[in-house]
Amino acid sequence: MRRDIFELELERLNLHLPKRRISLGEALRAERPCVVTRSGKIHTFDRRELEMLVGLLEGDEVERLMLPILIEINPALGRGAARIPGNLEAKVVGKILKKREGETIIYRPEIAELRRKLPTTTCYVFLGGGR
Amino acid sequence: MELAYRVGVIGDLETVIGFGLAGVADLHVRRSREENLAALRKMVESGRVGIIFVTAGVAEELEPEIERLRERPLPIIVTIPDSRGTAPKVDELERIIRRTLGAKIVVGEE
Amino acid sequence: MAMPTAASQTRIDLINLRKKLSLAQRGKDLLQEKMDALAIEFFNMARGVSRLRREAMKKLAEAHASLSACLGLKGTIETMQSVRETKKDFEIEISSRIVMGVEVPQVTVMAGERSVAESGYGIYTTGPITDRVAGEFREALRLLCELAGLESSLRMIARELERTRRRVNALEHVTIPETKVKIKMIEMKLDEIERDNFVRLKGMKTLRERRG
Repeated sequence: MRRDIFELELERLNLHLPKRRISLGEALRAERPCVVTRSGKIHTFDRRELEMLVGLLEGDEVERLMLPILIEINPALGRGAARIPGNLEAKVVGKILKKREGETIIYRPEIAELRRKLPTTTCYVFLGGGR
Repeated sequence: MELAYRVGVIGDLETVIGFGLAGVADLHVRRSREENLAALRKMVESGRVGIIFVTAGVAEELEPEIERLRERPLPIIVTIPDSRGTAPKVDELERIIRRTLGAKIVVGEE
Repeated sequence: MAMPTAASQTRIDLINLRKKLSLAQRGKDLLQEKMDALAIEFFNMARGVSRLRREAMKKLAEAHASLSACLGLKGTIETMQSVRETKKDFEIEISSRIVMGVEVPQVTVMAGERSVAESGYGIYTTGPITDRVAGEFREALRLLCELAGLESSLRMIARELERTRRRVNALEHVTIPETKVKIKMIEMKLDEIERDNFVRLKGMKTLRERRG
């Protein structure tokens, strides 16, 4: 029975995830930059965040960066740690947090800063993570 | 799903005049506690009022009822200063923060 | 020689308990992550609310100041007449969005800037003064409605945070330790059964040797 509760909780936490992500370029060109979530709602991106992101990229990177940027929470990583999947996404996050390049793991204060600066263009993904 | 709602105001005469000029339909000038409570309930029961603004003194009078109504998602009840500038008694934000974190934390500027 | 049924059942119990422990620990880990993420959202939101509150209250105070001036000039009766003639069409839209599995309200103000002609004032009671007051209260109202949505969201997030914390505590301080104790007890019991078996077998062997 506890297994069901666990899986239900996991599902509930991930309801806000988009069914399909879109590239930064696509978002900028759209009249209303948004994605549809698993729960069927429309999640709109703030243009100011999109503009901030463009400023950090060059060339075709704008077409390759997928939004929203995922913040992967996996208990197996240990409490307080998160991973940014995707090389380009990790690179952009690194620039925003003013970190060394190539670091895909970020920690709680950095997560807080990232969420504050990009509230609509980032979102959490919760993974079950076994022990 | 998005639904359209009206907004309600319960407070002193000047507050009601001000919001009336702004186009608010559901207005009640404060009188006795019983009448204020009845007005509040009427707005809630209509199902069409999404936010109700209550001025400081009335909010204090109707505190238990307002607390009870806060259990529901709608309508949202917001306490505002009255026309004389008397602020609502306890800062809600602070109360929530204290309740959650068990300590007084000052939320400063960005 | 067949295994005593006591031991088999006990072993099954042990396996189930170990599964339960594992799930409880995974559940606790996940809920802790949820709690951490909720706390981050709460703080970010709280900052926003604090800022918006200051803005809204300032605007409201300004509107009241203008209204006082207006009442002084035109009198209460005339101003109330303007209120009666104003079209009461202020509307908002409330939709919901999901933050960390919590459904919170999102308030959007519908009506835009109104022209004097639209606002329905009679020609005898209208004036730039009343118009200005209406505009300022509209602006304050817009901010207050946004504030309402944010405050309500904050309240709900706080509740979920507390609920999650209670669940983590229950798992950490009750379920997990209790399950560990039960596992320990069963392991000890199994050891005892094994020892009894061993002694009995040993005894039978000795008996056979003596006879034989």
